[in-house]
Amino acid sequence: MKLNLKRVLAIVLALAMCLSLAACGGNGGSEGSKGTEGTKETEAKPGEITNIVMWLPIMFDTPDPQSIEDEVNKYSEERYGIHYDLEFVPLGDYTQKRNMALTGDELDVFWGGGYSMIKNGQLYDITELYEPYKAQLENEEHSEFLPRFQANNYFNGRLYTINYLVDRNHHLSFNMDQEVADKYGIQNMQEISLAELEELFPKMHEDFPDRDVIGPTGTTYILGNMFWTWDPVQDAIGVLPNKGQDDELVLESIFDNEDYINFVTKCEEWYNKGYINPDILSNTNQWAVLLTNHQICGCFDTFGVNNVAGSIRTRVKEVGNWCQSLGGGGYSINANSKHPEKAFEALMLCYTDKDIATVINSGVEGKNYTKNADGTISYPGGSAATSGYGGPTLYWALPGSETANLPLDINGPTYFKDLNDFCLAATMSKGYGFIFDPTPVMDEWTACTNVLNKYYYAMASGAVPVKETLETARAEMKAAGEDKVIAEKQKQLDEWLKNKK
Amino acid sequence: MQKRKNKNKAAHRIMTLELYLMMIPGLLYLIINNYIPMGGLVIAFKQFNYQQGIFGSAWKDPLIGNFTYLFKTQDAVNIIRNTLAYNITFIVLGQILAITIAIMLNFMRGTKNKKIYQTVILIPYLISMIVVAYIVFGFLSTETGLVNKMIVAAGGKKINFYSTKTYWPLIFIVIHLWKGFGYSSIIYYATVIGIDSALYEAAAIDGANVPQQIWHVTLPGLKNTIITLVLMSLGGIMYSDFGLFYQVPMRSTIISDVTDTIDVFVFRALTSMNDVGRSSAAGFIQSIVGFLLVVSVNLIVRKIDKESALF
Repeated sequence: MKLNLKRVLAIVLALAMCLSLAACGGNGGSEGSKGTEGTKETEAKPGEITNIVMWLPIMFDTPDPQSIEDEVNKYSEERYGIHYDLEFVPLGDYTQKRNMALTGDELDVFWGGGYSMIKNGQLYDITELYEPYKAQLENEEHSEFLPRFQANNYFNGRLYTINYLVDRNHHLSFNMDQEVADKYGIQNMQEISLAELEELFPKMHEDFPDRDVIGPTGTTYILGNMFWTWDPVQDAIGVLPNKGQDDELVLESIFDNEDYINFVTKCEEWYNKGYINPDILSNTNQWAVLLTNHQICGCFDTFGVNNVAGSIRTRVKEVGNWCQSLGGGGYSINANSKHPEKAFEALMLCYTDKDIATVINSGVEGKNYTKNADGTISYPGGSAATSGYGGPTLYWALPGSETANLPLDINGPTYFKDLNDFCLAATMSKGYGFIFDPTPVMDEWTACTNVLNKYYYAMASGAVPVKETLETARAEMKAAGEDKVIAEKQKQLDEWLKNKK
Repeated sequence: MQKRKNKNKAAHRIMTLELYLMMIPGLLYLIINNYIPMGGLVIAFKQFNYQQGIFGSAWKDPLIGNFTYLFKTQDAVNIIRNTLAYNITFIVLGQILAITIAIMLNFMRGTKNKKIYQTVILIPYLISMIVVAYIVFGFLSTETGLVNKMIVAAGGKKINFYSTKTYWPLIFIVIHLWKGFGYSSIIYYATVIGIDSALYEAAAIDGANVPQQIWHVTLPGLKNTIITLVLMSLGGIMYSDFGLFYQVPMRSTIISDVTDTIDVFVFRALTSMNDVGRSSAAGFIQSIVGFLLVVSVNLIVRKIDKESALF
């Protein structure tokens, strides 16, 4: 076959068209940026001001971000030579936008961390930088939670992420609409057993016929965060039963975990009795919206010590206050940052400088919040949505809330102390601090993750027949190489336990 | 004489130069957008590290390490089967429906009627897939869906569509055809009205009835358009309508055996793994297979009818 120039060109063009799509999909990453080891630009000279870009998550409209930025820079420029360039990024797409931004060097300090980011080389190693702060932060006077909860941010002895005050441990609540709770005389924070709840469900079903009894906390399933008594050890492929409290830590398949099977069987029963919305699998409404609109009587939810207006919390007895083995969480520094050391200083100032912590956590006084006599703060417009910032509601995602120590009126003046105590009262899974590295079994692990995503949550919706689905799920997990993954995870866990002693 | 010829030549040269100049923006676009990013395909063979960048990252060991997971899963067979089977069905049924509609439009009399009809059939094409997902939900919902209401009225038992695999192939085909037939039939219609009416007249004089006219005049006239459109769809056969397969089943995972195509699978995998190399690997396979399909189908077309081939 004789190929003329035209035809060759046409083929090349066709190839270009086909390939460009693929290339676009994976087109990320700055070329050849420098490594972490001391090759960064020199740090700012004294008297010079370094610009640090920090991304804070927001949940509410922030119409005047500049005023908050100016307020924080009033303190930071003079005292530390740091200019905060604050970006307020909505929670909903924070992760996606952050992952895009991390391909460059514009972003310095961000919310997030964890194994996959460490493996991708996205996080700056802050082990040495943190040393001088350690004594200052990890003590009784500042916070007791930090030393305990910082453990899960170390990977192979190196630190990449700084934790902040948040309930990583939880209670399981069955949240109830105030009206519903009043009818049955249920009090806020009351302990309640699953059996007692099951007695209530049929009554609710009868008394509130136009509401679903159990709402979906995870949008399409009823157990948000899948928080019960099994410890997923990060990925739920190989879980620890009994909140990780057994003398000997033996991983088992989630689809063989007794409590999981019991719970999803209950879900199916509830679904068939009409307590759960028949269209749960295609639901897109958030539980908070459903609860506010009186479309549901209540829902399972995890919480620490905070309150929600218009509804009450209960504490499910079977679950209690405990903490799973989590992967890392907190704030990290971009490995490609131009000023990683200054960026880290900017992050730590949120914990150590009360003025800076106050602005980051609460905004501008008089504009975004007003102080009350008892030490709490209130939103001037009455709600987070009209306050112009909403940071105080989002204390669980902002650094240094305990340093600012300005709790919202609804949570009471001792809130951050309460939260600290709540964190310390948690039963910790014995696997806490262990981070599984799936690299040696990556293919099997990926395959298992896909199978798990297919069935793990769906069964907690009640809308699928548990018995048959469990069989299918088990078979598919086995075929995907679950045994190999669990064996590897067990090996790493045993080793970690040995070194811990 | 010689002088004039030279002048002509010079004028011709300037003319072509102008044309080439006009090509520059388009070429630049192609180079920047389509050729340069091709270098990024190496990611599929790398252990991608954000600090080292695309070219600085170490090569994957073994080199095809990013690809193996695709074939380790039980799902690999499913997603490739789904992608190919749905696309082939869509292409075949889509063309048949579009051609039928185009011919019917051609036989319709009165410009006003034609215009109204064309507009009406085009509307579904303009609706966003997310909206379509909710329209479909309006039909299929267990609690309030029209279909289930009808089933109950007829004395049947409600079907929970979003957890039942059986019906989804049919649902996808119906939605795809409904959404796309207006647009593709317009392309065919444009060709159909371009066919010289003298041919029809001649056929009629020779005693051809309407079906015969369609068979001997319209369809041969459409041949090149059909081949072009089919070739182009074949090039994208490893790609799928992400909105259709991701949004319309409302992301229900339990039916993913019949709803996951390669794109949806990769998206799911990427969002749960944060692994650029592995998702590029799947994209790489899609591109290469798509490219080979276009070239080989074109080769076959050339063998049959040289004039109809794209290149």
